[in-house]
Amino acid sequence: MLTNKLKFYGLGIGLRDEIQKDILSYLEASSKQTLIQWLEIIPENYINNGGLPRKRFEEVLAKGVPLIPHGVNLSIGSAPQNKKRLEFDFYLLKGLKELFEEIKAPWFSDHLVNSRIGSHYFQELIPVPFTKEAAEVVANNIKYLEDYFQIPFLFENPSYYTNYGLRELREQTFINLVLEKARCGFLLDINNVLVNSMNHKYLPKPFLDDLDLKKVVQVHLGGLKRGYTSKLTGHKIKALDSHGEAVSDVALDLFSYVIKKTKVKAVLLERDMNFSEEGFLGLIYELKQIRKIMDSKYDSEEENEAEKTKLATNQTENISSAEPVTLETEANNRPASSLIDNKTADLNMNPSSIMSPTNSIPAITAVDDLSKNQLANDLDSLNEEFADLG
Amino acid sequence: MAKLYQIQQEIKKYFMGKTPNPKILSPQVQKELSIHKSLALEKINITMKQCFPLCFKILKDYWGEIIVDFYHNFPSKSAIYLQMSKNFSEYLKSLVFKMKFRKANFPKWLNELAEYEWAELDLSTFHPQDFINSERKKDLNEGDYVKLMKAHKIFKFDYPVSKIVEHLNSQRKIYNLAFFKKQKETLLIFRDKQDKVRYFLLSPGSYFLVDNLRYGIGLGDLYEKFMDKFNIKEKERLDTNQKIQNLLSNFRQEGILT
Ligand SMILES: [Fe+2]
Repeated sequence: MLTNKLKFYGLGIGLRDEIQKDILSYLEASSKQTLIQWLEIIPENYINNGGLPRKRFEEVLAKGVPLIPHGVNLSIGSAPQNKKRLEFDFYLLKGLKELFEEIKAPWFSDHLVNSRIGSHYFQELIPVPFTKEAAEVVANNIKYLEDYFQIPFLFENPSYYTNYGLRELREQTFINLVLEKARCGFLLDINNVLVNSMNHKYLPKPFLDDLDLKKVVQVHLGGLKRGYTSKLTGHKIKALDSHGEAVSDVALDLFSYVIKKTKVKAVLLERDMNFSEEGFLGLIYELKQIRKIMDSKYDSEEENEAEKTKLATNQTENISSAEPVTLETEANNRPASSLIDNKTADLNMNPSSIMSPTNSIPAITAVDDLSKNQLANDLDSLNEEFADLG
Repeated sequence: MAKLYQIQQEIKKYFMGKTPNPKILSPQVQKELSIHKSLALEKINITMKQCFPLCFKILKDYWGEIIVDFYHNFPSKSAIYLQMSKNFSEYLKSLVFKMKFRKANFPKWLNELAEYEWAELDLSTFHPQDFINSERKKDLNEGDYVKLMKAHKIFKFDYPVSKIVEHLNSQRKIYNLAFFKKQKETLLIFRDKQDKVRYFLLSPGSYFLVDNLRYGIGLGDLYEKFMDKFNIKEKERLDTNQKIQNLLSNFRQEGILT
């Protein structure tokens, strides 16, 4: 389904129980000029709810802030038995459809994984192998879902800890192939790229260069945890997509790299846990950092557009002064940037006392120019640089 | 190369604690997959601890083993995360019969406690509200049609679950678990107007009333049925009617009766 006509939503954050109250009071205080322009919800948590959860949700609905669903259990990577179409879980689909209609979801998304095998849900985003067959399966599933929900679908690149020892396609080729076959949108999780680059030893920027970034509609920015050991086998990985830490400077750098290359409609600060009392201020600080990057991108875009307009105007004036020239830019949709109004001053305090300051890391750009042959050696130094992450 | 469907069937075996075909999932791949499985188990561990805090109190020493056994044998069939808790309560109910936990000597009322904790969770979160303002009229008339709200469950327990819950909720040291002997009780567990989950202990008489109220009934019919069932003599009827009315008003105040 086409995604280029979608509205610009700007910066958002995940609606989670732990911070719902803070988000609502923040929205109250910041009125229209806010760092939180939309909220992402995990739709599975809002199906057929009653009692307090429903009342809490109604409080959010009453605020009128746009809600965008991001699911975890559609399992678009599940293969059908034989050649027949995959049997979806209709209880889930029906519940989601009702919810999407209620919140007027502009699009929905889920991960490029398999979380259901047969009728069993495994409560984990299990990766799909990067094969042509899998790309075909995923694309068929996506087409079915878009047809059912009648709104655009985006898939998210997940973090994965195995590639099943299969090397039929590279990850980026696989993603591009799914995008091409499914004709859907892309939710680029930058932290997942970073985590995967650390675990599977590649450089993130060349990886991003290979992706069809024009298809990116939404971006996720989360934090990673260094090191994780399987409780079952003792197997170790270098980085875990934890959603429980602050976004690293490296991820922010990659984000700025991406948005210079493509226009995205929505950016999410992704945080699911480790909310402490002062955590919300920490989140506001992170949102400000992200907004700054977005603004600098749009500011330079505005300058370019202004340049173009000047040029075009001059040219047009030379031809005919009767025809006005308008150049539409995405920046027109963007709420004014130096935004926070006075009421939110309390929330905008410098959180340096709360968050451990992250050292600025020269990591990616420093190793950017290295040839891929040197990769194996250089990855270790890259990882050492990552070690400085807060 | 194996087809995606076959690969996923082997993944399923791996996740359910069975031995997958090493030609499809090599030992190295299984090790790598163990990261995903370990993450899933952590999530389930945390969630089930939160959802079944009282069961956790008494199963603490075996909890890790229980979570893995549950994951292997009771994979969830619902995409709704909370429904996994329903599965877990089913699993806990089967625990007392499991050979591998025989030594643990879990209390016989564990299945009833698990059922109670699931009911609490289910009632507090599910079932869209079906309250109508039950305070709009002061008194009930014989012609009125009365029905219990959807957000309720009725249990006939063999053990005094209400006392067990109260005891485990208190901060006191846990008694010898064998302390609670068989003692039948019937509980009406419900979500009240403030969205709190609470319970009423039901006597045989109130149980009869509640059982009829579940499907909705005219008040006059309810009185009559009650008098027949318990052979209430003519002279006691007025008094009994009053008692029934009081009980129903109580229910209405709590918001569980339409
Ligand atoms: Fe994400």
